[in-house]
Amino acid sequence: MPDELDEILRSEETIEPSPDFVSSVMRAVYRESTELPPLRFPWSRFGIGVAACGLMTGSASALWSRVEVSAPHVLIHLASLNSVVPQLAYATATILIALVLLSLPRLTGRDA
Amino acid sequence: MTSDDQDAAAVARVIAGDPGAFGDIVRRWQHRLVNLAWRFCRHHATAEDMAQEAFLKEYRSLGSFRGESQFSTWLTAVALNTYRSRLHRERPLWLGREAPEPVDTAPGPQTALEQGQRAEIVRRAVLTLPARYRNAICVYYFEGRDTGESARVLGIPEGTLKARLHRARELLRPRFASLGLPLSDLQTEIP
Repeated sequence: MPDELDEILRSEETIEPSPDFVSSVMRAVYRESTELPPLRFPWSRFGIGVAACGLMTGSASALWSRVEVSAPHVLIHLASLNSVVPQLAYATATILIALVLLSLPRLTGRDA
Repeated sequence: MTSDDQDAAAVARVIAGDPGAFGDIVRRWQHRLVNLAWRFCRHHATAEDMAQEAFLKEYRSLGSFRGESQFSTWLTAVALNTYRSRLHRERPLWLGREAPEPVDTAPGPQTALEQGQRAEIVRRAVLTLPARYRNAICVYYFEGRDTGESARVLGIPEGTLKARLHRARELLRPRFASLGLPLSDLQTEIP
């Protein structure tokens, strides 16, 4: 008994690729080969950062519980730093200016 | 030099840093990949676009080809995965495009044109099957009804493929019947 479904699916017509198909694929291949590979997410650095944050949080919690200082005490200590605020501001400004100067070649698109 | 040797040589050259050698692979396999894509979308431009995407994917992953299977099997399997993803993304846009008019199923002499339209409707009906059955049917007939090779391309056991082909026929049965074709035509067993 003839199987018409089988016959229909077996006698599928074929198509011919366009004459420029190969060149079109190769253009895409060359483009692909000259492009830089996509940046991968820095999982290792991310992991180290998360671990460091956890460690610091744990250490701070442990120290905090060991020292047994209350919030008002901490505020009093911080208030005593008022006298050195100008020096801290100068130091911060100096560091920022140095960082900006170091970054200038990259920001202007030129190698150092 | 056999086709396998030519493929192996081209793969080695591409991996060594000569992307131009990939052109040999594209020239040798373009017909196969475009026609496999055609069976999944039935639209010439889309088939070429899908085949190009598959070739690019193969170019990127050429280093992962270990030679454990035939190059053609690997190439077809990668292409099939690409087409599956594409179908998953865009299938609703394709179906119905350039669809032939439904034929009159009233008894009477059939012209060659009517038979052609009927065949096209059946082929499109295959595309509306669930993915696992559609893939089984498309690959099985594309591979010249070779269950072993089809199963390797699909990455499933041969027995599973046979079961899917059987189920696909069962699903097609009512659609086939609605075209005025005898139900007995669907009884043929898969070898």
